[in-house]
Amino acid sequence: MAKSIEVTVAGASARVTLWDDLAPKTVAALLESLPLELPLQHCKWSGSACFADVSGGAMAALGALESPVVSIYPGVLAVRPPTPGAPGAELLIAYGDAEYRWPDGRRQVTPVGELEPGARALLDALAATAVKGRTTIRLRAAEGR
Amino acid sequence: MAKLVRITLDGVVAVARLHEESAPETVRRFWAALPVEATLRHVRWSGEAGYILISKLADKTQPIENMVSFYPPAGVAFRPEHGEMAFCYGQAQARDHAHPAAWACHLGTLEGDAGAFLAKVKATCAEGGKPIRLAREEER
Repeated sequence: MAKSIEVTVAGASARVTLWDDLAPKTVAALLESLPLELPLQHCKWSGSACFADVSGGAMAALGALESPVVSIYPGVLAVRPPTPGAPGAELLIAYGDAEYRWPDGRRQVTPVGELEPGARALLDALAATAVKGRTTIRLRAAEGR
Repeated sequence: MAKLVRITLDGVVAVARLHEESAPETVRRFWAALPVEATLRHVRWSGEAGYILISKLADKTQPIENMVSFYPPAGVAFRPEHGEMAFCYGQAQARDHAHPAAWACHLGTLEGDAGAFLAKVKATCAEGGKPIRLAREEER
């Protein structure tokens, strides 16, 4: 059975199916870190996506990328593991077209899962951060799975 | 006489000098469009800047004058194809979903100590959109 978590932003919740076949170490670190409650704000360089910094725990101890990608499709959750210049991990979630970029160009992330169908309210809540500013994202283990 | 624009962002005022010699047509069109009222939002692709869309100035056929790709700090940049005007508070570049690097007109530069204004631009990332008004300086 696929592993899943529940994500809540601004009162809107949805399940995320985790891709532990593509990213087993990153998914395991994410699950070990739950529950998480983090400041979430809109990306400045990467397009229609939001990000949250994860400064401690298993996520901040992650090593290499897994199944690295640049494009982050709508509804996809991704993780940028710690790097020498950026200690701590970065959790990203896209609501539209997004591509992981830094000031010096494209970078790669590990794709870790995807919102299940019917997540319109959550996608709208993510998009609203471009207008309303920073909010909070909560991630916890999904119930009933 | 230099063309100066008074910019009021959420109660904080800055003045920008337009680069009329190096961007004459873009300055002419912008000057004619003033005053402009909008909501300044943080850019999503271009880094450390805020932007507004001035739809009446959007023109895909207009050549880009005084071309830059990287936005100078305290610079006012304009992309005619979108009618997008950006106010840069840090490291920023003309970019979008299809272009990791694009071009913009360096339309103007903020004068004097614009720190308070640029702090307001930066704050849009965490706090959301803020009202902005651009007017000819002599309207003061």
